[in-house]
Amino acid sequence: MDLKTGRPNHIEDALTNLHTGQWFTWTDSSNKTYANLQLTEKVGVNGNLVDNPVTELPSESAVNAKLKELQDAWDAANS
Amino acid sequence: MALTRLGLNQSINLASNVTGTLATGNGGTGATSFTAGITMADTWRLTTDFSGAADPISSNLEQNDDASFEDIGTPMSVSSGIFTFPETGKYYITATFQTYNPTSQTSCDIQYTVNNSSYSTGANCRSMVAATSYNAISTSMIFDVTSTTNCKVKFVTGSGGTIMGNSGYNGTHFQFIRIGDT
Repeated sequence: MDLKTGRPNHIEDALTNLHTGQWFTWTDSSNKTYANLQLTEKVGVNGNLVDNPVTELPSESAVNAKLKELQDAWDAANS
Repeated sequence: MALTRLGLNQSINLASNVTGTLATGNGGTGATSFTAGITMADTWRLTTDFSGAADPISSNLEQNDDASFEDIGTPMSVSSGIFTFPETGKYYITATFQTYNPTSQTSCDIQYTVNNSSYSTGANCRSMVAATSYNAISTSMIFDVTSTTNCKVKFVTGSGGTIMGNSGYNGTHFQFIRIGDT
């Protein structure tokens, strides 16, 4: 999100609103694009590492749609 | 005892001009020697945002790799979110969590084990602010690491807002400084 206003503008804004927990990671954390997105194998739950319950990456269009949804909601709340 | 200020380029000859026992200073234990102060310091950080709970934070962790950073001594090691200390000693541990939109309470812990099995909360901090707001919360503890095999730490978040990570700077990050012997 925009660090000054809080308006969602980054792919991670969408991803963190699609599922909770550490379900995704990057092949290159300094270049966070959809092409570099991948699932984590395990997530930490109640002190244990368990298989990531998210088994399929969301489509790029679904990620973009979620980001637009967040932006529209932010714009409506801040207009 | 009168004290005389040393002039430029003057020094005290400890070998011939001092009698008796020198006072211990700067953590030194010997009469004529000093030990180093900080022998280990390290910083790790979260590189990627996530929302909700994580116990432990197990992925998207990296040692600080900024050009400005250089660890001291042997660094921490981490496996699946469990941090292992390089040597025994007393460690000052700080955890800073950068949060976004924690409209419900976001609880963050430093948890420790002394038997490499069961964990207790050693330090906690909480965040709850207005929607679409940022917050940074921090907590710390001193951990007497008597065994590198059994004494470990992990970082845990409860449900709430987004925990923010970044690979370019220390957002959510964890610091370890060895401050003395066990």
